[in-house]
Amino acid sequence: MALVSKPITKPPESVQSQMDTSFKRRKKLRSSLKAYLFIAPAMVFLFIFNFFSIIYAFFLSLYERISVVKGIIPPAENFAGLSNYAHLLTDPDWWNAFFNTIGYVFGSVFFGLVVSLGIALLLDKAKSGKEFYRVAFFLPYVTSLVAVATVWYIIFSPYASNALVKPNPDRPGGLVNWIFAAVGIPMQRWLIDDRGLFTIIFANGGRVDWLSGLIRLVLVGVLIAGAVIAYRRLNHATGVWVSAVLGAIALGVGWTVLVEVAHLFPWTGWTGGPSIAMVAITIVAVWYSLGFNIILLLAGLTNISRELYDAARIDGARGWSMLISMTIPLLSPTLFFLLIVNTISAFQAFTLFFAILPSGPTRSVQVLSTFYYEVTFKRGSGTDTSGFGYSSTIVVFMLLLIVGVNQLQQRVLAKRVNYD
Amino acid sequence: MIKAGPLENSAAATARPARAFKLPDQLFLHILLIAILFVMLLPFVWMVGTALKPDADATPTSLSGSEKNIGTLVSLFWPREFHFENFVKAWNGKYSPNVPDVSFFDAPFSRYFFNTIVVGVAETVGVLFTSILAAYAFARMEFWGKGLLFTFILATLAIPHEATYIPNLVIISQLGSVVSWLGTNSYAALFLPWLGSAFYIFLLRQFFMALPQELYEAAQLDGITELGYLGKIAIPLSMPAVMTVALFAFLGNWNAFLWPLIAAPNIPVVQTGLRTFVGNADVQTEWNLLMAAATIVILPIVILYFLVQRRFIEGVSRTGIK
Repeated sequence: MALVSKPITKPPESVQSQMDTSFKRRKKLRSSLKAYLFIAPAMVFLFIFNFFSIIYAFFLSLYERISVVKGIIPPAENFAGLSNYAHLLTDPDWWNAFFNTIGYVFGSVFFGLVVSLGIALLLDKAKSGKEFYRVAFFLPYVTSLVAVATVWYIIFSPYASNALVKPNPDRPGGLVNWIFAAVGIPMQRWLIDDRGLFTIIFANGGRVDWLSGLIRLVLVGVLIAGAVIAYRRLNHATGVWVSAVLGAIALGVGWTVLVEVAHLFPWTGWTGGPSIAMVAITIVAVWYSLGFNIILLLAGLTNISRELYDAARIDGARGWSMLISMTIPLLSPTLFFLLIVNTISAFQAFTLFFAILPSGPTRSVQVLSTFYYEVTFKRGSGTDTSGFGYSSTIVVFMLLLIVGVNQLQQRVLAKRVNYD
Repeated sequence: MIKAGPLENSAAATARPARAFKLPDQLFLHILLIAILFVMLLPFVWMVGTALKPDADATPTSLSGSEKNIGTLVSLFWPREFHFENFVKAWNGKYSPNVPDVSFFDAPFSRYFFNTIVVGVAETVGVLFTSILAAYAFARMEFWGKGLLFTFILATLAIPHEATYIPNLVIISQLGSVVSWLGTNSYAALFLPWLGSAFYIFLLRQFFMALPQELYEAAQLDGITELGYLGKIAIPLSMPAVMTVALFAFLGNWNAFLWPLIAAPNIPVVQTGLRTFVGNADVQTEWNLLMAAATIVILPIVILYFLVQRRFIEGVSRTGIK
């Protein structure tokens, strides 16, 4: 770690007298004692509530059926060795939460960065009023997540009335459904709907329309053939572009068929894409983190000197190519920092899920942190997977996951980051 | 118009954004930005608008009844009648919205605010105390094991808060069995775990290290003690950093939710208090009261933000606090 100051080395001395060094040592001892007094309060709290508690989480994960705390060390008959870990790896609920978390982290971080980069680039171009926009865009970020999550809970609400009543097409509840109704799109159940996004868009109400499916499959074949031909015949750059576009269309059309037949094969549930509830929550997460990302990106953008832009412009760089080959590489330290910070906080996201889903997360929006909460506080203590032991196992895995992903990002991306 | 050659053409193109189309470009840009801003701030407009609506509009129970249309866009945001008493009802809490004679200070929200502010002040003062002392020692003083201890502090930065909740709950409840006012359901439980902060130590240390060495030596010649130097010179000169730390410590406490929920359920703070307005599947949620409560919870922070927004934004852009 570069940030760590080097241990104090003695100055190179060769002709100093014995008395001098012993005096120095005594002085150092005295100043050391004083310094220890200075750092002691912070170190005590850090040690007890961070360092020790992590070790303790490892320790608790070796026990089962403990939910009431009677002493620091749980009773010996509850010692379970590594069985919590074995259980975790075969727990379908945990795997479900795991994949949901990966999807959520990827979606919220990716879209969060793309949208905020877009807005920051626009803001950077503005010649006046920048301060006003900065202050306004940052507003969601300072407000409390619980409060804004309840606001979004109502915005996405499908209910016209209290929670027992079905969604009513005549009187939409939330803002989003109101807009949908006004535009003519069928209203959705949003936060309480586990169905995948593609399932809702493409799946034709769960019926398989064999004829149109067949036609679409033929279309996919034609498109793929076209892509291959384009790649072979056209010159390199154009060929790649044309075949990429054709391939993407083929993928999309093929996907609609896949989604339609998905219910015939139980293992293809993932083809439905992220559930519409997860999409809604991701939108809120992106919205909430925009202010933070924009502030840091703007600071990074203003550090890029105007002369560099002018030079690039004289060299013939325009809009898109300027962005790709100059702005983004120069911005890469900021982007990298944001990537890491956003990834870590997305892994830990709990408050948003908890506050926006008052009746608890359904299967498709169960992430690791909410799963952890349910195991700890909701499942009771009778079964063998409940209580602090199993939930500590979950937390240990979360910790390993976060550190691992963090390390991976550092290894893979840090080399490409431009630190000029 | 004279047709320009390729050379002039490109020269004109480079000059164009600077001069000829400057105003329309900027105008278009601002229209776009305002539109984005409007969409971003829409939830707040919706929040305040809903908070002021009459009960019948905010929680339309007349499902089978009279209103079989989706209303106009204006009616979504603009209340038909302004019901400012919704804020009073919300202040009086979910379970006693219609009790007229609840005195202001007995109302649930008064208690939420009181609890939050007590804990917030304690946490802010405490974390400033520990962090400033430790940061100063790491910046200015020489001692054995300095590098090792600082590495330890930086390592705790990587620990997610969630991971420490259950062990800390056990620790707190054990403390409580020794000293009752430190255990669960005590004020101390709400801020004790956050009194040591690696991040704030790191941030303040950077500031203290940037102070010139000559200043320190000159002060020492005048016979000033370490504590005297810290209190009279180092802290006043690092006021921006100290204020940033104080601000974010208080803000973090204001927005804390999960830890108050599990560590001290009997001491409701604003965020957990707000939760009581959200009904479960079998309890009706009164949207206007919920939104009024959300407004009440957000408002102090928004006011604080507009008062010291420069500090907020600089704090974030310089330190990357998240």
